[in-house]
Amino acid sequence: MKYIYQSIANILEHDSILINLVGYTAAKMNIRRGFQLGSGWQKLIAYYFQPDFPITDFTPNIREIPLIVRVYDRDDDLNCGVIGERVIVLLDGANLSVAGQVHVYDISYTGELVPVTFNEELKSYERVLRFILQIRKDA
Amino acid sequence: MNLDIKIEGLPKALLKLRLLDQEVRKAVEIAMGQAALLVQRRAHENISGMHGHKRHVKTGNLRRNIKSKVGWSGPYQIDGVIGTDVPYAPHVEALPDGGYLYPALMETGREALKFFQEKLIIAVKGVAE
Repeated sequence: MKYIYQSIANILEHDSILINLVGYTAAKMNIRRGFQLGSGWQKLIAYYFQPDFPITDFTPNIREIPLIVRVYDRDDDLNCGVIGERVIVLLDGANLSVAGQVHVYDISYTGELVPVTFNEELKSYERVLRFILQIRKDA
Repeated sequence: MNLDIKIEGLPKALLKLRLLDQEVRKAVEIAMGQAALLVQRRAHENISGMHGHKRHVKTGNLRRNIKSKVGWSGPYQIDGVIGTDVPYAPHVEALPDGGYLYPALMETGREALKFFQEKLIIAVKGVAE
């Protein structure tokens, strides 16, 4: 899994448009893997995998994994939506394969679980996206 | 050289084809209803902490409001919809331990397909006899 996380991080943390939209810096770590959102951010992208499902028709090595991406912006609901759209553009159909370790057949956007709404608990606008990955583990 | 071909029983065959269409639609509707209920029940169980899932019940409001419905959305397309209109439901579904609804579909999909197989076989056999 860590290989795919690295692939996703490479895509999200190296896109200049997304970096500008989120105001990302390595020190702030406001594009990050994990569910614990912490505090001290104005804009944030957090992503994590949910448990996978083996597709046993072929081989148990082929699996389907849901990926959840949470997008936050404390000030601007429109920007929250725009960040989400950029994430979809970057990840939908992206090449996440890691040579010799994991082959990702497909990553596709399956819709937003939560549309842009204000989250009272976090005091921020929030949008939650969902993707599905189809992978084969070689090692 | 001319060949004369005469087909007998054509009106009867056409009648059977029409009947088959009706029976298949009926069978698919029943099977989709069963499949939707199966997924709905599994979602109830998942959210209650069964089948290795984490329990996400505090008041029972979400569990109580997971519902299913079946309907034709086109002449040849039938939809089975399982879900809820509870506002916090998507947040529970997005939790890292995997939610309740999508796993319910994935875990019961194979079983649900069997309903279609069974009902379609019965429908086709019934018309053929």
